[in-house]
Parts: sequence; structure tokens; C-alpha cells
Amino acid sequence: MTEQSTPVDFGNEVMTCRLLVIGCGNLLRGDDGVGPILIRHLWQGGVPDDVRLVDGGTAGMDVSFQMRGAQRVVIIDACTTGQPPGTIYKIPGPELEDLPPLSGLHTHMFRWDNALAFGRWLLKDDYPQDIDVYLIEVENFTPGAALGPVIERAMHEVLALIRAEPAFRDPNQVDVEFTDSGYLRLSAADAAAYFPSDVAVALSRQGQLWLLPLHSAASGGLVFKQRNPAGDRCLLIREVLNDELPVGVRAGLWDAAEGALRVDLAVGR
Amino acid sequence: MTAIDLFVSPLGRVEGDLDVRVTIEDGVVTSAWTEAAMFRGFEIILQGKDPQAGLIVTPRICGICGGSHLYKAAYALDTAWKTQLPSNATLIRNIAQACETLQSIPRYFYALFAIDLTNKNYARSSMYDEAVRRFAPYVGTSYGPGVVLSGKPVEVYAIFGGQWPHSSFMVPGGVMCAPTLSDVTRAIAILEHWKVNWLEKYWLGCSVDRWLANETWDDILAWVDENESHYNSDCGFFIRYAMDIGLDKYGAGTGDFIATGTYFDPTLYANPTIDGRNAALKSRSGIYANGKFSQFDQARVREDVTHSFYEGTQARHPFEGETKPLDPETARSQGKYSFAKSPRYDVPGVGFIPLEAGPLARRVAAGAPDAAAHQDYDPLFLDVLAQKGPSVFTRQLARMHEAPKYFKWVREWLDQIDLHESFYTKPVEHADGRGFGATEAARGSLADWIVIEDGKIANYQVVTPTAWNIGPRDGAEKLGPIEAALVGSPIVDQEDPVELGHVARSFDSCMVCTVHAYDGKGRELSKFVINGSV
Repeated sequence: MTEQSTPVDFGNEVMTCRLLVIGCGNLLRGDDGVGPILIRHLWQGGVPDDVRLVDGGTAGMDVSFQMRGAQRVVIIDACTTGQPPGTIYKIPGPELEDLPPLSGLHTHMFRWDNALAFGRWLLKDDYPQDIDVYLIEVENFTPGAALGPVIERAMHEVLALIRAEPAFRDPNQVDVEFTDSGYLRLSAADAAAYFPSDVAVALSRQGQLWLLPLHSAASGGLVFKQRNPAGDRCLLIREVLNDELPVGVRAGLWDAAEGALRVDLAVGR
Repeated sequence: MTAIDLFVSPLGRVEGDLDVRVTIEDGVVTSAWTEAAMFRGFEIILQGKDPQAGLIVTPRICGICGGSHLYKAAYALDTAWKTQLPSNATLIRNIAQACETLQSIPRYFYALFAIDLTNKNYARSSMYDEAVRRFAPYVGTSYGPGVVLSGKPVEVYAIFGGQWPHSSFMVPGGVMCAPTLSDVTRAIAILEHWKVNWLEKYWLGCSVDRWLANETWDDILAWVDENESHYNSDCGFFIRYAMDIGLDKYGAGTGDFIATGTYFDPTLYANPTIDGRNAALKSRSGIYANGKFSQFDQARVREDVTHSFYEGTQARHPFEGETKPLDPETARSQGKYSFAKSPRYDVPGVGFIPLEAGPLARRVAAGAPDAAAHQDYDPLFLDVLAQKGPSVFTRQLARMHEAPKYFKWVREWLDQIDLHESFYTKPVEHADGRGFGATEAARGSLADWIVIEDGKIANYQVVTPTAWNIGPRDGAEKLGPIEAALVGSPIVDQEDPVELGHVARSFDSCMVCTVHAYDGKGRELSKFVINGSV
């Protein structure tokens, strides 16, 4: 694409955000509204300060303007590619950029694939580097219809993926993994940040595992072992939990007030 | 003499949204049929719903003028529920509506209309190279600033409305926002930036006030030659180029106009009623037919379905309106050819006729005598109409004229907001009532009629500017405004009938914002599937 000759002054500061989520589609046409409906779910559940939500609806060209200042952009739209309804695609933005044909350009026909290419032209250096597009295969466009159950399920899958985006993570979240051999695993970075002396006291209380760091092994406690060259740590936890291990990755939270890493042990996440 | 039928989709890249069929004889269009191929259906969605559903549903009708839909939907409920509107609410609604239109003016001109000015059919013009240099998409020296800065006015909308598009912040009884002084200051700064860096710098080449001093077509011609800055501005160039390539020679249409008007004086519309509406307007309503003005009266509107894909051949008032769609295939055998209905207006002494809606209609209405002190009186386009007649060019110039005008109004309204006063008065939600709300979207008159019974919507009808303009023939076989405007257009190259695009685009019709699903045509996407189990 040819660059425009001189950059235009937008006239105000860029409003930055870490993640911008844009839902596109027509809320009045059944499954086509899956993007805006997903945005509403996200909004109702609450989002961190540096996540921005945009109900793009059917206003294509404005999607380009909205992308200004976002570090990462995730777009959700319905699609009709011929795959079974409920099929989910995750496509890197650059794969789908498509400048609208000049002959028949019409602002009412402007879709996000056009908006991506248009946004690159429009925003220049402010164009986000990191863009993914989720497409959900849909089937029913009856005016006023609700989402079909298959589409609804797919939407919740995509919702979970978006909520798992790093921008949605609580800054105090610490992922731990329980192995079926009875160990708890912790990444090198988290171990260094929270357990610098590699020693902790472990308690099982009220359905949670509490890990409290100690200053040194001289006070006793359980010892973290280095388990690989990267420096990841592991801790034998089987006895503390009476062999009832919630095998798999769990999201723990660092509780600064108590000085403890707390992990829910209940079944299911 | 040879007659040729030509089928084109001049407005959209997606075939089937709006198709135009024209008959061409000796290189001139002699008849035209506009076919809207998509069923809208929102009147059906709204039936039986909560009265306020129109505030959510109608802004979704269009992704370009959703704010205009919200504006008139709110007033329809205000009149039905007899609400009280604080001054601040009226001001904020005015500001929001005007900002949506201010966005649309440059965006439509550069991203949509001016592209046709670079069509190779005009290469014979000595000014063609200059047109390409300015208006070529993405690379034109004016295209960039015009399109980039078009986003500014809706930033002001978002300050008050939370978001644009698809906001629902206007509600019966007021607006749901609590702006601070810094919000107002920011809004002023954004608009000033837009004015200085696009409107005056690129479009006018002079101050807003200097342009608005033009009162006649001769004034405009003198303005162009007054100095180099005017002459070489996008506006000055457009006027010279449009006349050179003949855009002032075709696309006349019916020459009869409707404006439902918009923007209210805060003190005169504190208790919105259908009857009190005309007198409270700043941008006036009005009918101009056969060279005569008359008052706009919503009771005189009918929607004719003789040639539309709906049951029957009646022309009903929107309060009694029906939306009973037919299968287009069978309906065609009854002479029906479009999903658009045909709005018609009963002009006193004339009868039911088609009327053109849009910026030119508004500008004509502004020239009517007897404006009250708070109302816009602007004789410019009545004179342009008398000197030049309606055309693709006149319609376009009328639209651009509104940029400086509305800019000034918004600035005044921003100064009138009293941050210590309220923005909302909780209304009584009457179980029964009838309401009418209207506005002027960028592209013309837009109105809702709502009938509430037992606390639910019994009937809801939306008449859009596109329906006024794009609707098909009526029971009397009178052509719709765009159909009429296409007749007489010269077609230089049947392979690329750019003239049809000019005419159709000069109305800036909204296509139904329909299903936007991505079809992935021509792309291999299967490797990106992430849930293979489906």
C-alpha cells in the first residue's frame, strides 16, 4: 500500500491500552450478533483498567480509529465459510487484511478485514503490532433471533480464551502445577519473586493450600528443588494434602497482606 | 434509436444490496428501477417488546448514523410519555446529533463521493490531474487529512455518549451522562482542532464566518475568485471542477423536498409534544413542492407498498403501518420489485407525491420565510436552486455547507451547558400512548412512530431518509426520488457508468446494515480452526 504523503496530526494524545477487544456484527440478525453479545458478557463480568472493549456493531471504518494506541487487538466476528456451525477460527490479523476495493468503496459496507488494512494506512506508527481475529461459524440470521445453542457454546469458548489473555490476569496471579507424582511446580520467575530462599511452610486450610515463605532453611519447612536448567522449582506436597492432589495447572493468588501464596483446591477451575 | 437495459450495483461492492436497473436510449437514462434486495425486519422485532426497546434496536439499523436513530427514538418516547426535558439534555442531544453529522460530512465526501471524481471518464478535463492529486484514495493530498480528521467529531459524541457508534445514552427524560468541566473543555479543543486543521485549512481556505457570509449563488462564484486561498481550497476546486465535468447538469430528481428538521431550543421543547415540535426546531422542518412551502405535518405521511415486497397495495400512515413481507420471487409477479417501502407525503392542494430528503432538502427548508428568532434562516440554497436547479453538484454543495454551520451551533451549545443543573428527569412510564420522534441524519429525514398499549410496543415504524429517497414507484406509478434523479443522466461508457454512481451516491443512501458475517471468499482458512471437535 502506498503511504500518504504527510502524516496528519490527530490533535490529541494517544489513549493507550494493553488489550482492545472489538466485537463486530449486527445485533438484530440472530447469530450475526455474536461479536457484540460477547462484548456485553465481558463488560458485565468486569475488565481490568487497561483493557478496552468496543462494540463495533456494523460501523466498520470506526474499528480502524478505535485501534489507535492499543498494544494488542482481538476482534470477534461471525463467519460463514461452510464449516459446521460453532467452528472457531483464530487468525493472525495480517492474514486477513484486505483493502476495500476503491471502485465500490462504501462506508456502509466496510468490514473489519477492510478496517485492518485501512487502519494500517490511517494509524501509521500507532497501528497495533499484535492482532488476532476470532471467527465463529454461524448459521441463523433471522431478524430478532437469539444465538443458537451451538453458537452460544462457541462464544463461551472464545470468552474463556479472551479472559485468559495476559491483560486479564490479576497481577497477583501465580500459576502452579500439581503433578500426579505428588509435586507442586512453580516457574523460576515466580519462585525467585515469592520464595527467594527456596523454603516454605505449607498449610491446608479451608479448601486452600497456603504457602508461606521462610527466610532460611534453618527454621525448618519444605524445600523447593530445582527441577530443570531453566530454574523452575518443585516441592513435594503430597503429604500436606493427604495424597488428594488437584492434578493440573491452578491459578494461585499472592496474598500480600498474609504474606502467602493461596491456591484453591476445589475440583474444577 | 436503441434501448438498452443495464443492471448495476452502483452503491455497494456486495451485489444484491441495492441493484439499479436503467433503460438507456441514445446514451441517456430514460427510466430507472431501484431494488433494495434486503428485508429489514426491525419493526417485527420490536412488536410486543418493552417500549424502550427502540432505544437499543433502532441504533443498530445503521452503523453510520446510529446516533441519529437513538436521537429520534428518544423523542418518540418523550412525546408518548409526555416527559420533561432539562435544558442540558436538549443541548447534549443536539451536540451529539450534530457531531455525528459533522463526522459524516468529510468522511462521505473524501472516502465515498470524491473517488468518482478521479474516474478516467473525466481525463478529458484540464483539471483532471489536479483532481487525482487531491482526491485519489489513500494517496491524495486532501484524502488523508479529510478521512483521518473525520474521526474527531465523534470523539466528542463519545465524551458524552460513552461510545460511538451504537450508544444508548439518550433516554426518555434526558441523557445518561454527567459531564465535567474538563469534558466540555476537551470537546471544545477537539472541535477546534477539526475546524482549524481540516475545515478551514483544507476545505474552505477561509474562516467559517467568511464562508457563511455567502447568501446567493453569485456570492459563491465571487467567493471562489476572491483570492487564491478560496480558489485553491478543496471547496473552491470542487466547485470549479464539478461545473467543468458537468455534475451540475444531471441528477435533478423530483425537485420537491421534505425536511423533518432537527435540534431543539432547550426552553421551547422542555415538554415535547408532536404538535409543538415544528415551532421548537432550530434546523427547521418543511415541505417544498411545486415551488411552494408548506408546514411539515407527520399526519400527512404514508408508506405505499404497491411495488414493495409486502402484502397488499395500501398506503398506510406509520401509526397504522404494517410490515408483512412476501417472498420476492412470488411478489415479482405482482409487479413488486423492492424491499423498500415508498414513503409519500400528502402536499396540500397537490396530493401524495415522492419527496427528496437530505442536506439539500434541509437547506431549502432553511430558506422559508417567517423564521422565529431561535430558528435558522439561510437563503443561500433557495437561490442556488433558483439559479442552478437541483443536481448532483447542488446536493453535494448543500451537504458541505452544513460543516461550518453545524460547527458554530455545536460551539454555542457547548457554551450553554450548565454543569450544576440536571441532565435527566425521571419520566412516568404511561402504559398507553402514541409518540413521534424525528431528526435529520446526515443523509436526511429520519422518524419513528411508536404505539404503546398495555405497557408494550403495539406498533413501531421507522421511516429512514434512504426509504424516502430510494423507495420504488408508488400506486400512481410515480418514480421514487433516486429513480427520478437517474432519469436524464448521460452515460458516456456503459462498461463503467460512473454517472449512475454519482447520482446514487449524491444521496448518500444507507444500505440496510445487514448481515456482516465474514465469508472468507477466496481464502484458505481451515488451518486456523482451533476447535476441531465441532
